[in-house]
Amino acid sequence: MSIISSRGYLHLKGIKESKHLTSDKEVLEISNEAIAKIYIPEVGPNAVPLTLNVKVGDEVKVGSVIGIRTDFNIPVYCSVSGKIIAEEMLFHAVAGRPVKHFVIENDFKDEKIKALEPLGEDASAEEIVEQIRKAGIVGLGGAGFPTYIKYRGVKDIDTVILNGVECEPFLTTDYKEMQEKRELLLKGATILGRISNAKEVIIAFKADKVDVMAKLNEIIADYPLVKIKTVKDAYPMGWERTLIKELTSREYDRLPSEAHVIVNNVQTTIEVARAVLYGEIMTHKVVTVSGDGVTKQSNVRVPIGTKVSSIVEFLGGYTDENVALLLGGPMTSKGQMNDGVVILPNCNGITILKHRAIKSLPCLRCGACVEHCPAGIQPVEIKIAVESKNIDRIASLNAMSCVECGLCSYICPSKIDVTEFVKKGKLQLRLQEQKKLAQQKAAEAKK
Amino acid sequence: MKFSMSPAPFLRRKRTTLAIMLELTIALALVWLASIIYYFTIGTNHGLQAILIGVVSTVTMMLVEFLFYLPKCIKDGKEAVSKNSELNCFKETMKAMGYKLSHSFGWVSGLILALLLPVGTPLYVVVVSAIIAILVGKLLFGGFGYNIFNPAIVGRIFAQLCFGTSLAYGVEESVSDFTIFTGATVTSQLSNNNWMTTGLDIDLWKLLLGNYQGTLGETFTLLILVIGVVLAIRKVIDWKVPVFYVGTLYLASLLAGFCGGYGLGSFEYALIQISIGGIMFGAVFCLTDPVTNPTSPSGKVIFAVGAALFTFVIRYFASAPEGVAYSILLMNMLTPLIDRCIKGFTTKKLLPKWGVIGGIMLASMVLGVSSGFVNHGAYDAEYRRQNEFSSVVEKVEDNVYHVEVEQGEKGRVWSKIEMKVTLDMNNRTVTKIEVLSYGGNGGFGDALLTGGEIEFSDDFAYFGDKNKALAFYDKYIKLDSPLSFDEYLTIYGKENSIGNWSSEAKGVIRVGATYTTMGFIYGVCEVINYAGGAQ
Repeated sequence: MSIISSRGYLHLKGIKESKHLTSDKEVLEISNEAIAKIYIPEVGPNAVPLTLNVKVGDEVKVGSVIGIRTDFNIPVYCSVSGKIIAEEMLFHAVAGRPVKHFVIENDFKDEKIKALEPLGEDASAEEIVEQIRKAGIVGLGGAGFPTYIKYRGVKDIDTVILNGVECEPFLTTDYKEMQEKRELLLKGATILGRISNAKEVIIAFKADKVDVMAKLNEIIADYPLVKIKTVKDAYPMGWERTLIKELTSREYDRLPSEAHVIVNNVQTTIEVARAVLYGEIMTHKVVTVSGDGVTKQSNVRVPIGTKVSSIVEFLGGYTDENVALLLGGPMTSKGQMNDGVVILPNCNGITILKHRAIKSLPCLRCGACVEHCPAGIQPVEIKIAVESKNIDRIASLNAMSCVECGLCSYICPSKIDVTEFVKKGKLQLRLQEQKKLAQQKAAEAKK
Repeated sequence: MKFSMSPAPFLRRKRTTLAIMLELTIALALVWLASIIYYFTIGTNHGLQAILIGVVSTVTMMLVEFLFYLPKCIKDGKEAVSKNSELNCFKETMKAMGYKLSHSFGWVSGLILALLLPVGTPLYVVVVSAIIAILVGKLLFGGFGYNIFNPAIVGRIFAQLCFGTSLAYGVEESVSDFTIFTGATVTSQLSNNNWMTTGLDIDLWKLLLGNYQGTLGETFTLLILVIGVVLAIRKVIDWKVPVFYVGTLYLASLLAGFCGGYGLGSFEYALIQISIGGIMFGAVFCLTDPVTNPTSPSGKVIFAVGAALFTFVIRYFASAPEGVAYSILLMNMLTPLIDRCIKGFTTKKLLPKWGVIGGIMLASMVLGVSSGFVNHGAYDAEYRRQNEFSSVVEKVEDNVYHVEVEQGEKGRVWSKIEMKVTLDMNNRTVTKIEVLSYGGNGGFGDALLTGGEIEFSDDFAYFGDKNKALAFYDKYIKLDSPLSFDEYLTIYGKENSIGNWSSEAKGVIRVGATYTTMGFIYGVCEVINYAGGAQ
């Protein structure tokens, strides 16, 4: 680190307190009435439509394929058994607009279809990758990127990093799952290390999680490939680029594979182990429900497709008339318009905060946003360029490299929504790109 | 149920711009307080003046802001009433005004400007420069956050350019024991001496503690340093700016010292150079104003070393000893350019960035070296010119001698004293001294030699201490009763150059017309020697 470059991260004050709201409590099982109806969207986690396999009126079981994602060719499974009774337009957290959901009436019989066969010890790497695809596993850290893609035709990888940093305030699901499923985690780690031919697999989490450290250390001797490394409590330490730089001192341009690294979430790793070793698919998800806007803060295990409103009701409802409802942590998630959204595999938390009006002042030009930007760009300069509609300047400031971690808005003493300005800048760049493409096409058509 | 749709992140750091500005205000208030206390120790009227300057400057700025924002706030007030008719229009207007004023931070500029002015500044000058500072320096650019120049510095330079004489002569006779510099600032004195500190008996501790006269705030070097460290730790100011600024100046001065022939004394010399002329005050309170700084870390460092270069150039090679203010304005002007030039990632291309920073620093170093050599030569010449005395003694009658003392190089007489001295060889006393002629420019020295017959003109009041001068006259010239030879001889010592006079002797002769008293003592001692009275 040089004194004239960005520091790249920041310890968030009060993050420990926010995590303590849920980290020491038992994971609750959701009540039956809250999951009497389950809603499965007819689009994938990234809002691309599914090729549907079922229709209204069908009986479904745990493990029935609802549809296949057209973009990555992976199945979406049903998480309960029962009957599809209707289709309903519900808000989709990722798509940001209402989409059709299947409404499944839960019969609580929990009948299962064996979707996958467990693989033997001698399964080849290709077979394992295929198994991961068939299990429909997506990145559970938040992005929802299909896991098998990262390992298909993999080469030149020497390190796999399993990300349990969970740098967002409030969220504790990674922590809970690491505590509870340490063996699956280590087995999954070994599998991922094997199929990527990596020299080592690093499980990374924050240094203050001493109990996880102790629990893993008890049995880690059986898994020679796996190592544990801790990182400091800073935001956004869980972002791939920051984490890779912190652990391996390597930097890359576009993809982690350029630095010979693959990064996966720890919960994804656990799901990989379950799918490969036991042929089980993911049906339930632990979500952290926290913040001062909900009566009772806790981690809850829910079937995928549970409505957020019923989870909140299960935990005693809202504490205020005006709240911000966020799927994910408070740093990156946008406010949901209503609580009719459902839990998807890549959602690991519901943060509910009382509404606080924020009044912003003119920019002080203090440069705190520049000094802390993990992407190493200059948010305040991009803001000025966006305000003056100077697209060339926005491009020259590398606005596209922004990961929208929200640190610049967080740190701004004038309470300016800096991140929003950078997002606007990115949008303008994209529009310009599209315009150029359209012009090129028109020019070609003329010829 | 209402769901908030404001953009992420939903957590914000507790620290606000208002809090940062309040901390800065406290820091400035501390410096102001130190200044008030110091001036009260000099005289109640000075203390009151120090308070008044601060109050007038701040109140003026707030008032101008009030008037400037009044139309807008009245409009806001009316709007609020039109939405909710139960509200009181006046109350709403005042509420809008309160928010506007408390988030425009006019008082910060007000305090800084006050601390940049000398205690003798007439209040109308304070008012006019405060108006220019806030109106031209800030409001016309769009108010807080949009100003290009540091408002307080704009006001200060306006005062300097338009009311320069009232600033310099406004400081009336002073009771400080820091005699040689009383009234005139240390900086201008040093500037007159080609920035060489030998022969000028500066007490470093006094410089650091700040109990000498300058502008209200700039003299308390040590206090400002401590406050600066606290502010930097509390992240109110960015440490990079003052550290690189003062650091560059220190290194350049160090080189100037070495090349000026100070040897190991260069470290002290450089320390003196950065302790004077508001460098510390400028570095901590003016240069760090984030609104007028570049936003990127590398930009800030370039800004700081650039300001150091300009300070060095202006201070040592141009005619304005207080180069700090000008250098800050110049760099403020270049801030948009610096911002413009720093594109892309802050984490990349570090080497070229360090190259630019190093280049600017190197330029300062080169200037430091050359200024050392240039000033050394110039000072040598000046030193010889002023410090060489020669005398012609004639015996007029028994025990009465006529002596003519000349000060200056051979063939270039700088000043002349002619007197008749009567000795009592038996008792080894001087019984009578008659000053026949003196410099004749009507200055402080003439007034001294005539015991106030030529009046201590107000024009020269800033040179020295009238009471001390009269005390010197009473003891050594008037001679109500005969004075022993030894009284003169001990002052004189062995060498006829002030650089080698003992510090005790310096204490006696330094009353505001050093070369006059020195020449006088020299003359008397030459007579004693001539008559064989020295043993």
